[in-house]
Amino acid sequence: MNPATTEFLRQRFTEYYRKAVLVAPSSLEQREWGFVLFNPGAADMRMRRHIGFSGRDEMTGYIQNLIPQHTYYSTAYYEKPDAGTMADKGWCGADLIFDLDADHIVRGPYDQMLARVKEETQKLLDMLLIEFGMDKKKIELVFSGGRGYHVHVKDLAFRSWGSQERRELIDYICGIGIDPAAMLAGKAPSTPGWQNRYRETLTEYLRWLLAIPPEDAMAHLTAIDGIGKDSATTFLKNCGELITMIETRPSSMIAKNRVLGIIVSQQDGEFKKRLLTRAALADEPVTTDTKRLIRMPTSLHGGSGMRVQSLELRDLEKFDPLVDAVVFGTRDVKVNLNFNLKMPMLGSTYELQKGITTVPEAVAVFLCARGAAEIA
Amino acid sequence: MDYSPSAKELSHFPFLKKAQDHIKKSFPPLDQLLKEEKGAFLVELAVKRINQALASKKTIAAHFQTRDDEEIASYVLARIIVSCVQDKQLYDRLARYEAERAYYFLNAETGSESEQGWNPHAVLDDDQNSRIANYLAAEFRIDLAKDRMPLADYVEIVSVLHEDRFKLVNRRVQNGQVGIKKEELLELLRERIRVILRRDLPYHVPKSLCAQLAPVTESIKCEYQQQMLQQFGAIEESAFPPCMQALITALTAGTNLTHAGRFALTTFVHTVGMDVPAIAQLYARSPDFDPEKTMYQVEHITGRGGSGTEYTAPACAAMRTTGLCVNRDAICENTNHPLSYYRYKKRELAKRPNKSEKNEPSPAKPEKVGVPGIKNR
Repeated sequence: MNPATTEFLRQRFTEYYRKAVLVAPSSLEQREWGFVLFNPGAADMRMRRHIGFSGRDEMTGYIQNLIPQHTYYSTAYYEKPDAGTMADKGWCGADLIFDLDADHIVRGPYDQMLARVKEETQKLLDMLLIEFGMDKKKIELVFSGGRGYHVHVKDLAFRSWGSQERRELIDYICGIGIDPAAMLAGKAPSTPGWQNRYRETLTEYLRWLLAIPPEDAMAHLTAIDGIGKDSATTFLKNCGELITMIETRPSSMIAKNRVLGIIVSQQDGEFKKRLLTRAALADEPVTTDTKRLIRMPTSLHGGSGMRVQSLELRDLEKFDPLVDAVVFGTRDVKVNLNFNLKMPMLGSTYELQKGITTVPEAVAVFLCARGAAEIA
Repeated sequence: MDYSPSAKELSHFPFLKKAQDHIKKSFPPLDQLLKEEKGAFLVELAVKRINQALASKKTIAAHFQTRDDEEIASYVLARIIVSCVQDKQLYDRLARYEAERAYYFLNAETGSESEQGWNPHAVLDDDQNSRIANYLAAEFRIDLAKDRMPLADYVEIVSVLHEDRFKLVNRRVQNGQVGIKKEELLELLRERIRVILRRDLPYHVPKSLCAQLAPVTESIKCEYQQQMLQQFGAIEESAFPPCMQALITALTAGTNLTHAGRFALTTFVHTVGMDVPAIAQLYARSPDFDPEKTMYQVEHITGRGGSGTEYTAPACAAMRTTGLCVNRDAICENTNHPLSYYRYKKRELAKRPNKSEKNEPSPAKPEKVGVPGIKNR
């Protein structure tokens, strides 16, 4: 990013922070803050952290004065948030956080990544509400300003939890550590949960095996370590019966069928892949880290120029980050684009050619912040 | 509730607040009691309790030879004594032992055909739970009449357990409630008792009182160190089970260990007596060694980090689940824990002639390789 581009972004950010109503997190005075500044020419990002504020005015004043490129606060609550080392801060709890980042899920055009990560977010929210029985009012859903969503759960029940306890929840969400025998024990419950997801996946997988050409099914099975031609043939013959067994008496079906046992315990196999489409692929380390910094809602994301935007759970479906989290306007700005690009924003789709071109300010901010263009 | 536990019931669950209230009037103040013959007798009982906690084979008798108030007093004294010894592992062992006792007594209350229970007149409810069992469980926020438990309570209990069946993902979870089988409720209760008894240790014991108890605490310290030395003593890498050898080989070869692999190896070498810098050195064999990160992880796993939780090495079953159980040999066949393998093999090696330098008291301390740092993001 050249100095002119940096200056352009800094000015746009200044304009935003001058007018924006910044929303302080709860227990503001117990949070640690961290900022990354616009710093043209610097080789790497340096974060200013270990900062604490005594109140909302101080926080707002600081941000308006500094115009940070990125703004974070701690998910943790501290006795002394501004202490220089983690040990001196006096940890007294942390919000429960789930991070859904398209980077970990799918690659592709920006708008497609956003759509895909929204699905994962919806699955996560369903698990939190229906299975974990969490209180809607204690869940804050935030568009990260980048490629995903953050879910902040501010419930005292989890606040004092360490990493191990949080790991139980994230493993559940991501479907990690599933024991096949436990999944198939007893009758299928009438409510959603892993037992049902598992049985659905197994049925789906077996039906798929029956639906594809037999030679493909054979090839698929025999490619798995430990499954020979004969056992594959027998297995295919019994597939239909197995599907019925999932409904009627699933409990010992894995113990009794060696091939099935191999299939379900295969690490990156077809079955596992299908099973994990039913998980919500949240980023595990974020949830288990009790001293994490997270982007401040209402701040701007320095890598996109979009707003870190809180939204109501019920609004997720119709939320369009490329409209709803865009804060800049439509005045013309000339940029020099690094490559050809097609991108939707503010309801229009822009087909842009490499080189100098004129785009609305909001598009210019986005392209410059992402490093796809410089100010011309 | 109009039910009040009997003295006998309290003596079997001496950690109940009511139990300690019960003996308040029975004995003079502790500093005075310790000067009396009665005090010496109670200390003896307490030491027996601690030795039981340390013994590899524990025998728990449902019927006591002592009076109920003496039994309760010995529980309290044992906790005071270990608090004076100031050893974290000792707190762990005692808390685990007391929880195991309680679990045993809950199961042995009304007895079986072959053995009479300690509380034969216990009145059982429709779920076959006695009043003391319900009372005790309620104290620890567990409802024995239910086949489920609130999610947060459940997770707090099981997050330190390594068994797959207790993992939340393997449970029926609906609307914030976790399904539990009846027989598992008592297991969870045992774990909860352990955690809470452990959390309250050490007591803040006045120095003068510890001084009075010094002869006893000294002998326990000696005994315990002796035991640890026998069990583990100098670290003998050649006695490591094949799974741990494989992890070390992988490290040396520059393979990135999985989280489970690092966890297993770290907890294992920690338990056999490697100190934190030595463990970090072990990881220094790996080419992508990052001292700061390693120290952080090691300190976390060994309980010196923020959480204060000390983890134990996973058992063979858990190692199999995580795919870390490899190169099984003959000793493995009769082993269910990597640590038992180590203990056994080390004894065997020691029996062989021509092996010298066996009895060095502690591993040489290598230079500190890093400072536990801030976790950078």
